[in-house]
Amino acid sequence: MAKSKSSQRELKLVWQAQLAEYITSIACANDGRTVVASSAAGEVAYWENQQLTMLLDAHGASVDSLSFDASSRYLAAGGQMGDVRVWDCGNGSPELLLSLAHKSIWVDSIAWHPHAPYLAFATGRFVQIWDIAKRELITTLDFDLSTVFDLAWHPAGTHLAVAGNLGARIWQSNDWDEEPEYLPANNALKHLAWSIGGDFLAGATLDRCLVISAIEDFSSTWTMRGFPARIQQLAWIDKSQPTVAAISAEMLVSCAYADGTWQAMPLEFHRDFITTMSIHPKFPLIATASVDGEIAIWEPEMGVIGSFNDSNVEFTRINWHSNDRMLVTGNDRGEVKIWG
Amino acid sequence: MNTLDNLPTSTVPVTVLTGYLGAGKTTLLNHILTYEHGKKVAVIVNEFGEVGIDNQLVVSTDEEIFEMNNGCICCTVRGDLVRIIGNLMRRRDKFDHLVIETTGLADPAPVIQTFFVDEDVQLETRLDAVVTVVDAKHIQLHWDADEAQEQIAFADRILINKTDLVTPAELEELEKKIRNMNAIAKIYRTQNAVVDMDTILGVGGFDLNNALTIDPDFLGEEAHQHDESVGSIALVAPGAMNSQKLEAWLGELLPTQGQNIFRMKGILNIQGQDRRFVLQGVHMLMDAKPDREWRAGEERKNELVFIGRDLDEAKLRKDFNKCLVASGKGFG
Repeated sequence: MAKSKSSQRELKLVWQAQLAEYITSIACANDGRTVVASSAAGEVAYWENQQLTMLLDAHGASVDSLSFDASSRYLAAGGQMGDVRVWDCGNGSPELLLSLAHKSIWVDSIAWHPHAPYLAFATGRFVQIWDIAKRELITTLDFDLSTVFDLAWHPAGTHLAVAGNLGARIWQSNDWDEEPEYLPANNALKHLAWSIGGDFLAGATLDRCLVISAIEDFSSTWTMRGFPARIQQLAWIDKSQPTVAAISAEMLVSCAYADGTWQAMPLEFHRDFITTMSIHPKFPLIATASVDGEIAIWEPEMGVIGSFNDSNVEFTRINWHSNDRMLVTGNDRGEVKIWG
Repeated sequence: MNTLDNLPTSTVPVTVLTGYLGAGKTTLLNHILTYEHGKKVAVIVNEFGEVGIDNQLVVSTDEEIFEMNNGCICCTVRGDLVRIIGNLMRRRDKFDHLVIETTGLADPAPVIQTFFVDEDVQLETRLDAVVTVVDAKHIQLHWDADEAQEQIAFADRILINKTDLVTPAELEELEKKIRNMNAIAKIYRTQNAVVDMDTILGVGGFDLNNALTIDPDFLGEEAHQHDESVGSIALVAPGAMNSQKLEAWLGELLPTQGQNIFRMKGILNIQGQDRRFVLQGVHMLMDAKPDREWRAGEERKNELVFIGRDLDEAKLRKDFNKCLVASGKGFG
C-alpha cells in the first residue's frame, strides 16, 4: 500500500481496475464523476458511480488516445485499429455515436476544440476536423511536412497547430483554406503545447530540444538544447509568468518567461526516468510519475512537496482527477488506480 | 542510483530485408515467419504484399526520411520507424523479433541509422542484420541504379536468388562482382529464397563483439577490379597503431568522406594496449571500443574494411599506413 512522505496528508488508494495491457491514456470528465482509461490491448474502460463499463474490449490493436470534449459530453478514442470512435455520454450510459474507419493508419493524435464539439485527429499526413454534434466533416487539412506527430488547439479555439518533421504548421480556424503559418525546427517536433493564455506555442523535438515562439511571429523561435534525453511531455502551468514544464530523463525542467527571455530551471527528485506528468486543473501544481513507481507532487518554485512509491511499477500515465484532490494513474501492468 | 546498465538486456532483434522488387524479399519474409511460428513477430512493410501468416502483426508504413543534425555529424533516419517502433515496444507482451521489409527503391542507410541514433528505438531494439536478396538474372538490368548497389553494399547477408535462371559461369561472375562490392557479407546462392534460417537470424552484424571476417577470396586477389562505383577496400597491416594518429585520421575522414562510406568495420592493434580495438561505422556514425585481449601467440595486426562509393583506395591506404607506429622506432 502506498505511503505518503508528504507532510500535508496521505494519498490513499480509493479504487483500482485491471486492464489487459499497459495503460496508454487516461481522461477525466469535468464533473468529477467519470474516469476513462485505454490500454495497449485496445480496451476502453469507463468508470462512473462505482461502476465499470467496458466500452471496448481487448482486440489486440492499441487504443492510444482518449479525450473528453470541453463539455465532457463526448468521449473520443483513436489508436492502431485506425478507427476514431466517439461516444455520447450525455444521457447516462455512453452510446457509440460515430465510428470513422481508416484502414491501416494509426490514429495517435486526437484533440478537441477548447469549447465547441469539434474534434481534430490525424490520419497519416492529413488532419480531419469534425463537428461531432452535427456529425459533419468540417475540413481536411493537408500536412505537407510528414506524418502528423501532434495536434494542439489554441486555448481560444482560434488556431490549430500541427507538428511533424521540421516544425509545425498553424492554421487559423476562421479560414481553413488560408495558408498556414510555420514554426520552424531543425528536427521533427514530437509534442506541441500552447500556453494557458495562448500567447506562446512550445514544441519538443526528437533531438532533445525545446522550441518556443510567440503567436505574433512563429518564425522567430527560442530554442533550448541539451536536455538529458528526449522530452516525453510538455505542459504549461498557470502562473503570472508564462511557464512551461518538460520531462526529460529523471528531470522536470521548468522554463519561465521573464525580462524578455526564457529561463530554464532543472528540478531533480526522481531517481529514474519520468514517463508522465499532469498539471493540476486549478493550482500551479505538477504531478509526475516514473518507471520505478515513484509519484511526486511539485510546486514549481518550491520543488517536491509530496511523494510516494507504488510497488516500483512502471507508470505510463498520471492525471489529476477533476475532483482536484485525487490522482489517477496507469501503469505497464494494466492497473488503473485512483488515489485520494 | 539508476542501474539500467546492470539489468539483463531484453532488446528485440531486428532484421532488415532489402532487395529489388521481385527479387524474393516477400518469399524470404514468409520463410522467416513460418520458421518463427509460435513466436511473436512484428513485420513493418511498405505496402501490404502477400505476407501469408496469420496472427502476426503487420504494420504498413510510408517511408519518411528525417534529418538529424548533431554537431558535425549529420545523418538521416526513418521518421516512420521512430514513431512505430517506439509505440510497438511499449507493450508488456513484447515482440520476439521485428522484421522490416523495405521497398525495392529504398536506401538502407536511414533504416540502419535509425537503430544507431534514435534513443527510444535503441533502448528497446538491436539491429541484427541487413539481409539483401538479389535476383541473379534481373540484377543485370539494375546495376545503374544507386539503390541496387547500396542494398548490396550495406548487407551482412546476401542471397543470390533464382540461381536456376542463370548459367554457372554467370553465377560465378555475379558472385565475384558482389564480393568486390561487399567484402564482409556472407553470400548464399538460393532458389525460391530457401536458406538455412540460422544463417540469416541471430547474425549480430552490428554487434561490435563479433569479429570482422573478410572473405579470404577477396584478400587473396591481387587487384580488385571496381567496374562499379561501389566497392570494398580491405586494409591489412601488421604492427601497432598510434591511437592519436588514428583518432585524428578518422576524425577528419568521417565528416568529410562519410557520405561515401556506407559501412566500415575493423579490428586494430593499438600501441600499448593488450586488448583488441574494434570499430564499426555507417556513413558518419562510428562505434568503437576495446574488445577482448589479444591471445598469446595470436598475430597482432590491423584490419579495416571500407565499403563505399568512389573511395580513393590509394589515399585510404596511405593514411591508414601513416597511423602505424614506425617499426623499430618504438614510440611513434
